[in-house]
Amino acid sequence: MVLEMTVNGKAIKVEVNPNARLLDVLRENLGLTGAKEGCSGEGECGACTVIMDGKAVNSCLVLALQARGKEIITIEGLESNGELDRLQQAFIDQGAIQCGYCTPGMIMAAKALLMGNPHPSEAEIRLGIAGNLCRCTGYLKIISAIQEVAGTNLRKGGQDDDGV
Amino acid sequence: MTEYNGYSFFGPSTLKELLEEVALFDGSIAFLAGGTDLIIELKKGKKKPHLVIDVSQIPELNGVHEENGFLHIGSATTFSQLARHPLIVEKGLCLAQAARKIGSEQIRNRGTLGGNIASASPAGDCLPVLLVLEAMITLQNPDGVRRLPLSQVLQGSGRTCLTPNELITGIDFPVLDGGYVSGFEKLGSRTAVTVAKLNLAAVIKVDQENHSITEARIAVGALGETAFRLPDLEQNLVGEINPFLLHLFEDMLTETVDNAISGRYSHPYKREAIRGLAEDMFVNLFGASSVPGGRTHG
Amino acid sequence: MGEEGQGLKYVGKNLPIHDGAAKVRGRIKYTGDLALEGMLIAKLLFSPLPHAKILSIDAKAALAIPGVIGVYTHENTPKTHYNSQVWFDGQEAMTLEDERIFTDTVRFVGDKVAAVLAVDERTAQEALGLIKVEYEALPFNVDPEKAFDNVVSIHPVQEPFFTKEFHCGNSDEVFEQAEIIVEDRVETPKVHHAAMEPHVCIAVPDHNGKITILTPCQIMYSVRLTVAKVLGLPFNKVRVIKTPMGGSFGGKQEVILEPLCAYLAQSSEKPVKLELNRKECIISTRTRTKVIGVVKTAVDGRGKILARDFQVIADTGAYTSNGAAIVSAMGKKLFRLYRVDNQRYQGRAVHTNTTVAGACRGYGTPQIMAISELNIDSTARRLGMDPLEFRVKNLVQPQDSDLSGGPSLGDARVIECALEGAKAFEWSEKRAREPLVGRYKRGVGMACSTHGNGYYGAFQDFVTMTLRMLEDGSMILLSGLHELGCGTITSTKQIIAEVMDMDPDRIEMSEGDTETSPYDIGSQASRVMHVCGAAALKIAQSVKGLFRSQAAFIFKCSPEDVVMCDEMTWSIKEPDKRLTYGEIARTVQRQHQLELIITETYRATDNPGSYGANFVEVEVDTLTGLIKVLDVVAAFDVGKAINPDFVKGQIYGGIQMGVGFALTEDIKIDPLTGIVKSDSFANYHIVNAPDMPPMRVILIEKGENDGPYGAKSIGEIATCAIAPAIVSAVNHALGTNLTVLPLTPERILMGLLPQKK
Repeated sequence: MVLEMTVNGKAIKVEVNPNARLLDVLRENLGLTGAKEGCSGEGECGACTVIMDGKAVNSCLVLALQARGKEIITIEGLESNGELDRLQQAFIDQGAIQCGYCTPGMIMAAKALLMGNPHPSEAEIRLGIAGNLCRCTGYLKIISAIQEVAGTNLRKGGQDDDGV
Repeated sequence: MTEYNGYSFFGPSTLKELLEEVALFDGSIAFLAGGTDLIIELKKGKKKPHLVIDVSQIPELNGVHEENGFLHIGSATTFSQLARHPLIVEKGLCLAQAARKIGSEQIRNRGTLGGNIASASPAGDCLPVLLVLEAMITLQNPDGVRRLPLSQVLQGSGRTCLTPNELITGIDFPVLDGGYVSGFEKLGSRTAVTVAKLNLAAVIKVDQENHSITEARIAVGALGETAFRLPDLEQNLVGEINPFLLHLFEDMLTETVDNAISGRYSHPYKREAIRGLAEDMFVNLFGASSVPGGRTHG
Repeated sequence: MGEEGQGLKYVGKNLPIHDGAAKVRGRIKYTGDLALEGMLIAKLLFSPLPHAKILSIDAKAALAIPGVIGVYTHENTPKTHYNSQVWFDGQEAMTLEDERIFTDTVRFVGDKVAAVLAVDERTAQEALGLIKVEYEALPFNVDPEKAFDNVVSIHPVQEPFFTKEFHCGNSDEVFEQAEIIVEDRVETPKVHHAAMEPHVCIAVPDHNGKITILTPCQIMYSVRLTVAKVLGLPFNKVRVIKTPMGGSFGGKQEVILEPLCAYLAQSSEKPVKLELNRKECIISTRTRTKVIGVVKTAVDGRGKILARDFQVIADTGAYTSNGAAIVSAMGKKLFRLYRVDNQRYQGRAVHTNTTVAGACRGYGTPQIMAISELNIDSTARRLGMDPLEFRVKNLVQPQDSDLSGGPSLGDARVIECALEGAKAFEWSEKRAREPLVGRYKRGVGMACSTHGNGYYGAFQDFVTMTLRMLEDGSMILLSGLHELGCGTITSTKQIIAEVMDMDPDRIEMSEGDTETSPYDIGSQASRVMHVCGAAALKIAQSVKGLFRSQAAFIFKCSPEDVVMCDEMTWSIKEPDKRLTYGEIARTVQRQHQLELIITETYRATDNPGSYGANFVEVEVDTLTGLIKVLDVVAAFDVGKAINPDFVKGQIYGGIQMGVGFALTEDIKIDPLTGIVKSDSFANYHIVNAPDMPPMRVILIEKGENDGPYGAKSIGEIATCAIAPAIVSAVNHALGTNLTVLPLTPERILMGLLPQKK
């Protein structure tokens, strides 16, 4: 069947199988491999998070054809004219990246959060990324990076001491 | 038996279109809303329909409105919408509270109230809530419409009374006016993104002048195949509010657990833990001062 | 070991990770993101039974599906036995080789039975469902303590299949005479590594019989060794390229998918991708080793430890894997944390019909520290002593020796960790606080830990690197480094940049490729920064020496007079005549036909301990059994933080794993069926953002060892003390002595029942 949607600002028309998920189409048909599958498509890890009509969704739990007529933003669509989104830059600056596998989904969840609530509290940030698992960072610097963009950051590196 | 060759997809934009297709289609149909349960089952091959009909882009099935003292909710309304919808917050708060505690933001953005009912999970968070709200469920197929109380729709774990070509179109319940308080509490294995080990919903009518409860509706989930109301407990709560009420509430909930799941592995834990939910519910409904020593944290 | 005394320009600075931009843009290609032309997809069929003989496999229906290339089973694949843990030729003699690509007897639910190779995943998946396997069920055992009965025979060996003893002094005699003896039994669970990237690899055959394997691995030479052995190929016909790592934590240290994937590529003459899903990763790859320990401590009335005794059982699961090695590794740590003159450790490893255990961040240290530290806690309780005071009285001190005969502990600053951590945490104040009345109880706890810095003293630990300066002054390091996401590449750049006095971005570093990288024993044993970092420092110093002697020739001065600063160089005698590094490199090439390149082998010369002390405050809901970790202070003696942000990143992540180890993570196996019950992230809970506590880090950086600028390891020790600290805090809150991890709400409420009655 033919699927028409907008991905990262571009109108897309693509032939898909009825059982293809949005994640499959992004990765396989469109070559957008930033979104990952980390939990066997159960919506438990958030690595496949993209923004659909302004809301974060697990692209592993959306049939591709359900995205008909929708506007999708993936991690690849966050930068504009080669310039990183503030959130992307903050993830680099705050050291919120280690292995990087959860990073695209994490950033997209955070982006959706900030689109709906530009100045979330720390508790709101933690809940906003509760569906995105990370095994490397303990989340602290990720939270700091989001706070930096939200303007609610205390200081770089979170709330730790700088050693003695 | 013929080999299963997967499903085809139909994405109507009106209920009429949908019903026409259902009337014509010869084969099994699965109705897809948020997909947070169904897509997993389709992928694992646990469900093998011939046709998947997407109801997520039908405006008639989406939204909340008030009419004649009832709140009407389209079956494809998402948990995110319910969580912050002013009508729900004002006139059916326990439903908003339940919606907030479901899954993650990503799940709440897709998962729907109709889907929660159709999945009929023993731990479904909105199910005890809809029981205490005395919700009626509207079911429709090409032959017509029926409107049933939730307790009749739910028939067991993963089982409902829906016929193969029938879908849930709407949910309605009488608004809770100012005399009522309502709440939802859930116990999972972590703060957020967790399946309920226990959940509890309450609607209470308080007569402030006489310091008494005039009506109580309580339901629990994750204690057997489907969520259920607790008529004995409800009756016992009615009457003057006294210092022993919480204790009674706790004891009767423990007894409920004993009656529901004795002998199960989870029984010793749940019979204790439900007392925590009872306290949480009192704090939720009546404030921190309603539990002994107040609430130091939580 | 440091560079000349002046202030540091790059080392000790928080540079961002080298591939951060690619990662935030979603542009970095992990192995699963690659699609090669003509690539086939393999899917695996796993055993549904915990122990069974395979009587027959009928693949006719599967093979009949268009697009299916082949079905592979024990009948048509190499029967070579190997051990997935072995990383050097000859090591197999120290353990058992009991794995094959496919087995004719399945030994756990999740054991590999067959593979379908097909043109795409959908076809492979469909065919998989059509394979009919006939099994003859055999008796099975999932309980490590029952393994000692030898009723169920998993392999033709007696259980325990491995026993290791370490001792010092005469503990038996001391226990006989001691007045105070405190005994505990501690149990730690099987844990899933939960790297967000599932296990995956791609094998590509070429026209000359060479197989190239793309794999996110920790030890490429281990992959080469085992694949060459199984496929019967010379080492130079197996090329292993380490691809970007989406998390490992030891889970991708062993050779799990590669031999099969390589064989499929060899036999089909096509590129083959083999990727597991989450459930398959949980049930069929590797786990943290489940350990049960009985520990006794004899003390005198003033709190001096007189003797300790440890009887430890390690459950390595259905295949031997690192079962022997981890039993030894656990024992060694016990002689490096407390001053105990009389101590005995006896560790025994057994097989069970459960998912295979293997390397997992800390390599037994989190388990043995849980056992030891919880008993230290209950000993302090028995003595009525503050656990901090009791520890400080008995902890090792700098330059202590290892009484079991291991390498010197080096500048062991665990007491400093304990005292500085306690101060920041306000330990004494919090410990003395009145307990809360009512539903919520609060408690504070602590634990200490040590971990190693490489293999020195146990195995060969060396690394070869080639460093060259190009004609534009930029540099390339050729090495076998494996970046796991910890910041290895950037940290190594910082070291070389410091020596060469140049921008770290001007240094390029390839990662492991067995065809082009010199030998390296891999990203294991907490050796990378301490050993490979030292190698990088040494080779940079050598290249700098070469550069200076060549520059001296050009400047007509002595090498000591050559100044190097920000890629500019001059003679101190003629400061106005400045050349860029590139101009030197070009001139040297033109005039002397010489390249500024050096290849050197560095051999580790020490193996000091890294140390840590963690402090935790918890709140326990006594009605639901749920635990909130409210505060963590983590103090670590890391010698020197080459990049403090990376070091903290390791600590924060290590704490995340440790909170899970203490409270939620457990690969639960149904004793009746052998089936893993927690087989998805829906029921195997790693800690998510709302449940992560605030964390404060204290770094003790006193150097004094052979690491680069005095750097010691952090990646593994970061997760070794947190779990016992949490359990200790819970026990403090509740007045219990709970010692079975994880402390699930069920265990908390059952632990409280005696008090309620």
